[in-house]
Amino acid sequence: MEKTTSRRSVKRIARNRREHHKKVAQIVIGIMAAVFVLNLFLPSRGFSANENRSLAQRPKITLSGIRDGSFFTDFADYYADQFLLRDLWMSIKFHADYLMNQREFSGVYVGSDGYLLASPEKPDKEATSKTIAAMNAFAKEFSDQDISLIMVPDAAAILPDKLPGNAPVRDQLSDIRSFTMDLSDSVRVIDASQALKTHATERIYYRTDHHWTSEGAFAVFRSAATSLKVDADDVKYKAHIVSETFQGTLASKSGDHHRHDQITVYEPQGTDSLYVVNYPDLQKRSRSMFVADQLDEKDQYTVFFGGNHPMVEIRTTADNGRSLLIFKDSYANSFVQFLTPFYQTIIMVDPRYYYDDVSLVVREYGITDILFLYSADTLLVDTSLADVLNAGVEAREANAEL
Amino acid sequence: MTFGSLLFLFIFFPLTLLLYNLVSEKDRLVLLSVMSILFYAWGSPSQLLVLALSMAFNYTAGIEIDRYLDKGRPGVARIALFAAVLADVAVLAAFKYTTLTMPIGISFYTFSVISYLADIYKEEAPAETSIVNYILYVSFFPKITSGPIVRYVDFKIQLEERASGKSGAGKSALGEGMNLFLIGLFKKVLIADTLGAAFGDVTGLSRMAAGTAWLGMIFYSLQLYFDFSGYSDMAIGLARIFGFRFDKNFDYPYLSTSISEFWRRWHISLGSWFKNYVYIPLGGNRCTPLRQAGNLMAVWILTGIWHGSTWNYLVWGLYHGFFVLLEKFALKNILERIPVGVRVALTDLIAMLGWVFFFSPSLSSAFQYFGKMFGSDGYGFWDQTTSFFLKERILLLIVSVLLCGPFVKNFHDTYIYRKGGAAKTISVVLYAALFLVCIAGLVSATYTSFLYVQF
Repeated sequence: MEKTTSRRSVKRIARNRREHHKKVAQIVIGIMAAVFVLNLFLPSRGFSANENRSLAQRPKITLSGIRDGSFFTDFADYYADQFLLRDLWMSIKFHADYLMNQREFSGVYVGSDGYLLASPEKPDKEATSKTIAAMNAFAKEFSDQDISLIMVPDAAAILPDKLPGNAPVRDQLSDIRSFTMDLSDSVRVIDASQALKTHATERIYYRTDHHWTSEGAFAVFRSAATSLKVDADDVKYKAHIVSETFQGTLASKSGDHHRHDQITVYEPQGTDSLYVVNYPDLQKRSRSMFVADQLDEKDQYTVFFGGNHPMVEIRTTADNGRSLLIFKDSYANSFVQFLTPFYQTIIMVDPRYYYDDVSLVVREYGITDILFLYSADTLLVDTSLADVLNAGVEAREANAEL
Repeated sequence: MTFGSLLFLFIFFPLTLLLYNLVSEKDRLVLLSVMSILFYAWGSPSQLLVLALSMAFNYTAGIEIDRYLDKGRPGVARIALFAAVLADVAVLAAFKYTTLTMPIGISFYTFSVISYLADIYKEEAPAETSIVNYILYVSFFPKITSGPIVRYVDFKIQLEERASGKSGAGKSALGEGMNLFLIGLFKKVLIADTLGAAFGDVTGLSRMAAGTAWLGMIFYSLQLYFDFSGYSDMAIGLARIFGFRFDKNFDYPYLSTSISEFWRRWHISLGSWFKNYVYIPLGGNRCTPLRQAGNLMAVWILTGIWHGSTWNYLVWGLYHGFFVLLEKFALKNILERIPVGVRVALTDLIAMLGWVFFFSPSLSSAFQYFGKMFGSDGYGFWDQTTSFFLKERILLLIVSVLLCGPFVKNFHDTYIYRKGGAAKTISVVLYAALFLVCIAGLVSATYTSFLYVQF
């Protein structure tokens, strides 16, 4: 009896095994066949909103491309980029990794409360020493102007409790201190971290983007007002929510598309706050710094000024003779909305795209105040600011000799 | 082209499978040869030239050796064999030690053709007269890029079985082959690639705590196993689908109780090749202990340099050779008295430390890494980064370690196949789901993350 039972069960096991393998093979080969056919007929996509980049198109078959192998790698990239349901697969991968306890995705930490936090950059020692030297030389040369610096820390530095447990991030506040320590006294260092920490429970950073929110910028503005010699209490601001569907750079980078952010813009109340924005690079003028059309684009943060320009000129109805020159990265784009009642002219220069002579700007616009407004992440690795400042100092010295 | 790629899974493989089932048996070998050439040519057609020349040369050499043997001139046949082998090794060395780009799989197919010539000389098989058969043996796409290294004799026997209508693969070839292929795919894409990312996180640090360095070594040791054994599984599975049976190439090597045993479980086809074509011809163990030790050392030196052309690989080979000798001549009786668990732990430790030579680009960086493992970076034994990495990867580590033994497979086979019914359905669904996650992994691998940092 025992022998027959075990022989029968051996046969049963073998049969179950065979059927299992057959079923799996059928399903998998079915999926392969379906994908093979569907990929053939699927039209190509041009731009991926989720990944925020253009997708590879079908490469041309050339003899040189085949000889050096570039055709084959291009074709593989094209096939993957145009693979059906690409966004769905990326989402599955993200969730599978997250399930396996992964919390860091391409340099972005997936934190609590829906927060995505970028890992702060390591400062570039060579670049920062050049920048500090250039800023000091510039401040010495342009000693008639009032010069300030605001360095904005990352969310990871201000909201460490939102980071996943034990996430090893740089102490960016300490990096900022090391940087500002070496600046000359002619550059007034305005601390942004205190104001941000005080308002940490409010939405001061976007959940899905590396920028600060308008609320965060507002908090820093109010605390910086005295140093900037403006009376913030003088002006009331009306907040308008212009979007609830913003998904920023950190969502694209990490693959986590769960959350959306709200974008608020602030409108100063009172007749002193009318202005005209002039974009020399676009040869365009506008009555508002908020570009509503950009809210239809993927990067809705560009609602502020349409993005970054080499130079932007704002003339306001404020009649106080004060002229502000801002050296900036994109963080300043959402800070300027608070400044229009306080300066007659505001000139924004982005050194990454600016090739002109900045000393000319200072002279032509009668600049009275200069502000360096940067995210710490950018400034700690930047090389373009030093170039623009040094060029300005040289030009001024050359002019002085004439 | 590699097996774990979208192009292979969704274009090359389905196409080959379709054509294979459309043509008659007598045309299948031709089909497989053609597809193998296309597979090899994809990515770098110039390397096809090297393969073609090598094949033509060795085909002729094989016929020559056979002819001398037929004419009763074994001495001349021997010279022809050595000359041909020397030429093959010289070509391999030329690519390894110069700046020429090494053609994919050359280390493997060189060993295949040497096996071909040697088996002819030993009169275990005649020189192949059918060009299709020969091309298929050398360039068969399941095994050409990364093995397993199949002896010519074993392949020839199966070719003859096919020719005489006795298909050795059996009716369940597709099911069995696909199953093994999928297991390999899961190992490679789900386990190995993720371990690779974890390892990349560690090596991305310029300085680290000792514990982090140990974690890195463990990640790599597991990654290498799952990557290589996964690829072998895919190769053996594919061969099965197309009617050939290859022997398994890995047999749970991290369960070994000695380094000698490790090499009977790790990259089995390579070990067998060295045993058959180097160790035994040199005398094997039928000679004085001193000669034996010399033979072993020769094999280990060759094993080391086969894996890579830099000093760290040679040192790695000597490292393993040292332990094999130690076990064979010095520790013979002591080993038996050590409890099995301790032996496995020690063997794994020795093997893992050896992999540091593998993943380091040079000998000095290998020793640098050993230094880090003992705190040379000055970050202590354990820091926040160590905790973070461990926390992030603990589930992956547990799964990987479990899969280093047959526990999961045995449980699955006993439970699922014995019960049948609902359990079987759940298992089928699980396989399908894992396949979908693999697709997700392969599609995401092309996710470039640097293109949209907008300032």
